[in-house]
Order: sequence, then C-alpha cells, then structure tokens
Amino acid sequence: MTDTLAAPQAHRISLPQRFAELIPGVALLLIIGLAGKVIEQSITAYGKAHHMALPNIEYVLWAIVIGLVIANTVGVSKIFKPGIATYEFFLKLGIVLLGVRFLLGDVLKLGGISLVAVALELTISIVLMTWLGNYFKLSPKLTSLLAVGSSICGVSAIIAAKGAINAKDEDASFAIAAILALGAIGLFTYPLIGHLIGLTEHAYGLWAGLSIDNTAEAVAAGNLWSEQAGKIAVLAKTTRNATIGFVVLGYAIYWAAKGEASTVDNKAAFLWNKFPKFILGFIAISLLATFGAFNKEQSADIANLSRWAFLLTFAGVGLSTDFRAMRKQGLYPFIVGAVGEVGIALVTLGIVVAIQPWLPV
Amino acid sequence: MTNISPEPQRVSLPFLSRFSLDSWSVALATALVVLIVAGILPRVPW
Repeated sequence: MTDTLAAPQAHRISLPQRFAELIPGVALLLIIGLAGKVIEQSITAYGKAHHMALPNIEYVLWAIVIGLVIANTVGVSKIFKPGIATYEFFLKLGIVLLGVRFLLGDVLKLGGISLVAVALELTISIVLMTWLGNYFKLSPKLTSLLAVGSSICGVSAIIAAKGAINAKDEDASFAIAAILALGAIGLFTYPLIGHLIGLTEHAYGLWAGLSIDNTAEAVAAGNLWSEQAGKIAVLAKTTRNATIGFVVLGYAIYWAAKGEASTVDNKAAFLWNKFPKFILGFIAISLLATFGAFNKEQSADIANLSRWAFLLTFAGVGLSTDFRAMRKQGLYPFIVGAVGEVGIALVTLGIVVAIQPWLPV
Repeated sequence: MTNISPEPQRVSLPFLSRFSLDSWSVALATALVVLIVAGILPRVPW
C-alpha cells in the first residue's frame, strides 16, 4: 500500500517542457468549452429565426456533455491528460476573480445564512453516510472517505482525508469517481427539480452549493440556472470548503486513536495546511471591490476573465468523469454513495425551502 | 550496455513545488487583476 495517489513515473524534463505538456489538454478544454458556447448560441439563433421557443440550455451543460461522451466512449489520450488536470486550477482562478462581483456585505450576509445551512448539511451528511456505510458493511475507511467527500467537497477533501487517515488508493479512487459521477447526474436533474418546485434563483444556488460535492460541478449546476444562481452556489460551496480542515482533522484524530493513522501533533498547523488558500484570494478581491478599487469597466473585465476560466473548468469536469472507473469496486459502494447523495440532496432541499423566506428574491 | 538508471531521478524544483495549486491561482488572479487595472490586458468579449 502506498501513501500517495499513484503518480506517473517521473521523467527528467525541464520547466518549459512541463508547460508544453499542458498545451494539448488546455487546447482541448478550450475547444470543448467554445463548442458548448457555439451550440448554445446556434440553438438560440435558430429559435429566433424560426420563431420557435426552444429551451435555453446553457453552454455549461453542452461542454460537460461533450466531455462526458469523449471520456466514456473513445477515452482521453494520454497526451491530453496533464492539460485536462488543470481544470481545477482554472476553477480556483475563476472563483478568486469572481470575488469582484461580491461586495463584502453580500459575502457576510449570504455567507452567514450559508454557514448555518452548511453546519446542518455537514452533520446530516456525515451521520447518514456513516450509517449507510456500516449498514452495507463497506470498509470503515472507504465509509470515512465517502462521508468526508459528501459532507465537504468531493475531490480535494477525499485527497486530504486519504493522506490523513492512511486509506487505500483504490478506496480514494472509487470515492472520487463516485462523487464526480453522482454530481454529473445531479447536473441534469437539479435544474428540473428546482423549476418544478418553484425555487428562487437564490434558493436554487444555495441548494446546488450545499448538496453537490465537487466544486466545479456545484458551480456548473448553479450556472445552468443563471449566472446569479452560479454566484450563490460558489459562495455556499466555498463556505463548505472552508470547513475542510476541521472535518479532516476530526477523522485523523479518530483513526489515530484507533492506532491506524499517525497522530496530529500541531492541530493549528494541520488546520492551516488543509485550509483552501484560494478562498483568501476570493476574499481579497471582494474586499478591493468593496472599497472601490476598481471602476465599472475594470470590474466587468475581471468578471469576464472569471467566465473564461469557468469555461475551461466545465469542459474539464466532463472529461474527468469516468463512469467505468467505478465498476472495479462493485455495486455496494455505489449504492451507498447514490442513496447517501439523494438523501443529502433531499435534506438540503428541505433546509433551503425552509429558509427561502429569509433569502433575497 | 546503455547507461539508463532504473529509477529516473525526479527533477527537483523545490522553489516552485513549495507552492500549492491554491497559491498559484491566487498569484495568477492577482497578476491578471493588476494587468487589467494598469490597462494592459485587452478586453476579451464574452
């Protein structure tokens, strides 16, 4: 058993070569993202030209669908992989730049409401996933990973927890694949359910940010409704991400007490180490915007860059979701993941509907 | 016999690898914002 996720064999390559390796994958992200935009605009133009009321499906969904189809049929060639992996970087870049659209007052107000909802969501998710994992007799560490992944933020939380509790590589790979695949299914169902029960865009964004586990998918789900819903989803999801250190620390202490993980000596350093630092960048840009550091055009330009970064992110989400990777673990872990996620989606929907009267319209 | 070591040595870039993905995204975002505020970065229409 190794302590880290399987890393490709290291080669003696220079820094410019490393950047050159990223080019094919990043180009593919751009092509898929732009294809999504072209499809969206073509459908709108066709509807206008023929006086037809066609459903407005955002480029977000097209980009993800194209990526999903490629990844799960012909597969992604090795040459594209390093570049595709940059989608997480573009996601974080997009969120930092999106800070320009949040004034500090909004962050505090919505963040405050999110925080209460996040606390409820965290508790319920961990309890539900742990109970389901025990009921279906999954390995305790896989159960821990699924609980961390579903309560906070899919991939980065699972990787952080994996190192802290000495879980197996295949457990972590499964938990990541399951979280991504279930999130992808959520992308198709969330907007339909939201419209069906008449959520406002604030309530919908909060629901997406609270219950979809992968940050990129949560942002995508929000943007499928509207850009404003996407903003709210980012804020709720970022609030969840900020708790990553506490939950992972809790699990690390639990497994260390059982003698199956190394003990955590400096808890403050552990928390700082696990804290997602890009959130600080988001807050910094939001602070600058609040104090009028940018004029209208500059704010618009920064928000524009954020959209371009998200375009690359959404293409990467589809390309990185491999349904086949889950077959190896068998059916039970997937059932636990799916039942747990549906349960969490329903509970968070209940929370959002309950607090909807206090949310801005 | 070719002179290939069985375990290729990893190129160490201690200065660069010290920074996480998070730090890179904050650094690049800062650079882009500075370029926009300085009026250097052209507007990319959405």
